[in-house]
Amino acid sequence: MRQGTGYVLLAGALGVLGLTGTTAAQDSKVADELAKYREALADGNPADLLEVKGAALWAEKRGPKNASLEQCDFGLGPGKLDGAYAQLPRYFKDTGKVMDVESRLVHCMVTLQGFKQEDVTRQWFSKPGTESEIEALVTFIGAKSNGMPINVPATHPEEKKMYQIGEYVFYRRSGPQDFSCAICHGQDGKRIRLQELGNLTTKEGDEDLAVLSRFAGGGVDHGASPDRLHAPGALPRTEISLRFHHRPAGVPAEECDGHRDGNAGYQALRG
Amino acid sequence: MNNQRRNVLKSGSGAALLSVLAAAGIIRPGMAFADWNKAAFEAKSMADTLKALGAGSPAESKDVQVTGPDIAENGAVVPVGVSSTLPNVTMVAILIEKNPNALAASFTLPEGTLANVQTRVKMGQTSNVYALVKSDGKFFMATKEIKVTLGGCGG
Amino acid sequence: MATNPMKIRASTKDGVTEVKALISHEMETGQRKDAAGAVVPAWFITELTAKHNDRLVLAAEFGTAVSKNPYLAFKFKGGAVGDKITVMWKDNKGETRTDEAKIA
Repeated sequence: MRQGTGYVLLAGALGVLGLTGTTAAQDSKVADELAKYREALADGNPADLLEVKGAALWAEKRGPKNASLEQCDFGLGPGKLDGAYAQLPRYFKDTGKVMDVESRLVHCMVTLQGFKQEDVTRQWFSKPGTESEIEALVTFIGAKSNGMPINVPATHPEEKKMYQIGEYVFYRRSGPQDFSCAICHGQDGKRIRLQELGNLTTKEGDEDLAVLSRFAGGGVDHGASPDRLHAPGALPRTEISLRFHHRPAGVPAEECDGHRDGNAGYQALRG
Repeated sequence: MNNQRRNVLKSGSGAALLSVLAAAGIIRPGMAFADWNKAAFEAKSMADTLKALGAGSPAESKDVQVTGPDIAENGAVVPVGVSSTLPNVTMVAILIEKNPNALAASFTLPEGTLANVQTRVKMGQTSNVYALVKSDGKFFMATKEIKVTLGGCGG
Repeated sequence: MATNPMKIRASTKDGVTEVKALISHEMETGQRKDAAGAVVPAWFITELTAKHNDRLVLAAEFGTAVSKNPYLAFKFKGGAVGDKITVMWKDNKGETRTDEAKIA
């Protein structure tokens, strides 16, 4: 191929991307318009729909026991949802285990509603054509902590243990690609296509924890890692979640945002 | 006089009336929803679409705007809207020139509803987007180009 | 077939009520192919109406170009806190759904 053609193709590709501007002024205009675009999408994203669906599922009498989930205790008392997500994962005396929002929800679906564990956990995440109830319920519960600071002191010995496991897993390389979470999420400024990868070891990077909290493969492109690594149950999600929600004393807590949660997931999904 | 009729007559005019009549139980829902403007939505070019909408050749107007960002990262979700300060607007529509079918959506505005409607559309590629407005029975239009970095029509 | 709830928010200020609705619907264009290579048939909302109490405030017709999970924002004069906003849609398969919310 002659060099000239190569340049023409490159210019054409840039043109398609709308990035033909070569001056700083044009670049910043593109950045402004993209910011406007993202802002326009922030109001009303699919997480809102999941939230509304989750609210309906929460109150509906279902399962062999024909009961609703309204008595489910996430650590603040039966049915108390405001701020519940913000203080999970935590140790629960009644089960003797550290549980995150998903495992506690499944526990309630089994004990309060009589569902079988394997039935309710069959589909953690929605796929085109089939919807996940867990996803809707978690979005609803998460939204009840919108704007609240994350509050995971991890003082209980079981919680401390989970913290350490989570940290270990985060840095451990495994799987056929010999990948660890830290490889992508332990440094600043990393990206996959247009999606920024947060550095989870910093407060700012934790904004992207929302995406990772939908860990088990839910649409996030871990192209280099096999999906097997991210199948439900394969990753110790509770442990990792605890590791990153817990903040050592003195480091400011970041705020929950169930909508940013859903929105970040949405951004990842739509890519 | 039948109370239902009285309420129905208060509520509006044009195509919208049919659905309200259906809701009031006066005509069957099947009859009301034959409304969908098949000819307009299945027309391909701008010209054919405008003709099917009865809009002919709308005059360009500075009092009509296509609202929304100029660039969309994802062509499957492009926020776009119509805004107008023209008087007595009874209908607005969004047309996307380079889409397989130009008409994306049309809105009937009863009295009291502002000529300011936003939605999200799919754009197959960078294209001119048109806002069509019917004011005092006449059609007006404005356009702007929206750049799309990732087309949103098919697999 | 089961339909999912839509999210309707309405607020009023200075005599104008703004309604924002996010509707759950696949809005298939009929141009997409699934994993097996078969065309996914068109499935989309064709009409939608919005009412303030019993009065129609918007009637819309959608084509396949409206995005999945349609978003709609519009304003009308009038409306008071506590008034009812009802949104109803119908799709090309004949499915319908109605949801309501109160003006906040």
